[in-house]
Amino acid sequence: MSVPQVQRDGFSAAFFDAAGQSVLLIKRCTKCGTYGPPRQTTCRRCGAEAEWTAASGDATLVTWTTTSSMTFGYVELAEGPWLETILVNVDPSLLYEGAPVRVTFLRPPDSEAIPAFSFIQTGATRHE
Amino acid sequence: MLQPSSAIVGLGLTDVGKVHGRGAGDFAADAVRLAVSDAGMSMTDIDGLLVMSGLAKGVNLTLADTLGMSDLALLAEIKAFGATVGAMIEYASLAIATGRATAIACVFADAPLRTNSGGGAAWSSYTARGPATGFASLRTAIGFSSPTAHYALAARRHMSRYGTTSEQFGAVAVAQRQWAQHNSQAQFREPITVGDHQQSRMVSDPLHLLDCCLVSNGGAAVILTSAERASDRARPPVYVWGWGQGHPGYSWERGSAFGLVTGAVQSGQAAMEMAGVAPADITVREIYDCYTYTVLVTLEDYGFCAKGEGGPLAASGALGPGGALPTNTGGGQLSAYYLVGMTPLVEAVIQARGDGGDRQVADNNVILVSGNGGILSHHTTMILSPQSRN
Repeated sequence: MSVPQVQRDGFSAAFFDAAGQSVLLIKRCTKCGTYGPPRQTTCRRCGAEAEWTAASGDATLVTWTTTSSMTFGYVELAEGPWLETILVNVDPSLLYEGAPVRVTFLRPPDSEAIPAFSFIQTGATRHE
Repeated sequence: MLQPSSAIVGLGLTDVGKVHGRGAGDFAADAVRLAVSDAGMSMTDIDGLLVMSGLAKGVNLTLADTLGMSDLALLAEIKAFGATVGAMIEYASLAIATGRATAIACVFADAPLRTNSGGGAAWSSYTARGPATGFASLRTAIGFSSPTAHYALAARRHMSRYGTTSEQFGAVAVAQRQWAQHNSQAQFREPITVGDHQQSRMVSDPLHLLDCCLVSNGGAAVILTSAERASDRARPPVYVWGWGQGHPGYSWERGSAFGLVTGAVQSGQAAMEMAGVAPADITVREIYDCYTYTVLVTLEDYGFCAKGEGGPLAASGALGPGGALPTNTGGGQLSAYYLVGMTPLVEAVIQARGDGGDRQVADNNVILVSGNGGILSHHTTMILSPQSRN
């Protein structure tokens, strides 16, 4: 799997600084405490300013797709927001809705660190 | 509530598909001329124009000049992505109901296909973006760049939750190809099987190539006028009984309905209430079918089957020729041609007029037409009939 380079801008600098330290940052409302995705600037519920906060890194798989080059999809963070992400070290045939996953960080050359998710235990089996 | 009082009295469809050497503006002008002629009108009878452009652009407000239209009472470019055509019909119907315009042309045209490349390459050449930074570059890096990938994520969620299968998606493709065999303007008319669907190239799992719509060059237009003026036209009028829109604004967090429920619920209820009909009254369905999955989830949300039963419904053969719920009777965007929301609307007008030939549905009394734009972000519904409501 080859991942294209990711370059920071001013808005995302804090996020990628943290990713470089293996910390996943998301947003949290300064007023009502509602969590939001990293790109959010104001709270979707109350409109107040959202600030960076560290996510636990625990999530469950929502949905995924596999193309010729990679498997990616949405995970639901323990805090509630969905995150668009790559799934790594997974056999696509073993994936299922609700599968517990945990953040890991890819470090491609000449790129910012990229959050990715994988099974908490490798070789996880489908729970029927 | 305002009673709908408009009707479609003119239909124009240019050659569609791999038609080269002409720009989108040319297709648009031709489509309007054809529709005006079909309505038994002249260009000076038209006092409103609504336009929509596609990937290749080139359809804009200058179309009025191209067509020699002057002193228009209504002129605008409408954009709600794949839901645009339903919105056009709504806004045109409102303008007619309030007397602001008397005969309005609605047109879409596009010419993304070039002679040396396939549909996927044509689409990508228009949607590819230059180097990005920040979160945009992250999004591209992790694969979230094509509509097909996004619809694959929606389809996968439906499969996970309701047990929908790829073979059931295939049944939609097979049924529509059966309809397309009887449509001389369809780009693909060779019969296919669910096996062919399963063996077609995987684009973005779970979506195979035969789950995806076509890419087409061409244009289509309709002329709307008041129901009173419609009754003495050259061709049978197609009355607008109701319309609706639904823009779900999915939350991307715990509890989101993405992939499971669409704007068709809100839009369909509004349109059916306005028309005074229920799902059981609908005799023909022309459903926006950018992907096979879209057809299944839309049929569920309109109430043609219970939530999660779209897959078994398709597999039963109900959607194809001879089935209980005739759906996408011209082959749709999957097999006929892709002119966004004009694909289902054009076929609805053909069926309402009884012009379907070998694919004509016996009971054409109440026809539902849908539009779907973005990633299930925008939805429109129209209810049409050959019968006046009054």
